[in-house]
Amino acid sequence: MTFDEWLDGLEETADGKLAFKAKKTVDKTDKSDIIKLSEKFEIPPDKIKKFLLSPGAKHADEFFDVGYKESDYERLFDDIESKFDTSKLTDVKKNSDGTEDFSIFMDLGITSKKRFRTVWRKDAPNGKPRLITGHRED
Amino acid sequence: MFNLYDKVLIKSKNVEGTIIDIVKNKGDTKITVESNVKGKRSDGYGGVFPIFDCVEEDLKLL
Repeated sequence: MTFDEWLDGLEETADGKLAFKAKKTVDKTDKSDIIKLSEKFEIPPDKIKKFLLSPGAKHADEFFDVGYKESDYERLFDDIESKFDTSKLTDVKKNSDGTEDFSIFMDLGITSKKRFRTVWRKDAPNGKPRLITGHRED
Repeated sequence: MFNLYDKVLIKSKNVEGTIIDIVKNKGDTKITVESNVKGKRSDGYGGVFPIFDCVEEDLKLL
């Protein structure tokens, strides 16, 4: 841990003292079996398996239409990683609880390429962004 | 108690959506809901499927 990261973990209490911030926790039900890792970001496997590429889920047909199959978790992860470019952040929003949301548009697909908006959330300034959703958007 | 990918109604906005993120912090739970209705909204984040940060009390399971 760097000094800056340590410092970021402190906050001033109501009586003016410094104390460690309560740790944010993210629902673990979505993070049970991470099998692919990236230096740049985090995508819980279920985000792809139970949402983006899950038949019947709201955006699944948008991914199936460009050639992904239900079993293409790794392929979609790799495609997102190859297109993840922090110089292309858009719609950056800093939230009052210290989290930050941003979007990156990327062309995704196997049989054809279409433009998708990927939406990411950072739980802390120095944290890795997590993918929270992705869908077609021209 | 809500879970990821539950379909819910945001009562204050009368918007149906899907839970896409749940963060617990200091006893508070922030639930992020993506609208199931296509169309940008000024009170939501993002594009054609806007997202909203909600509290549990403002949600109803569908």
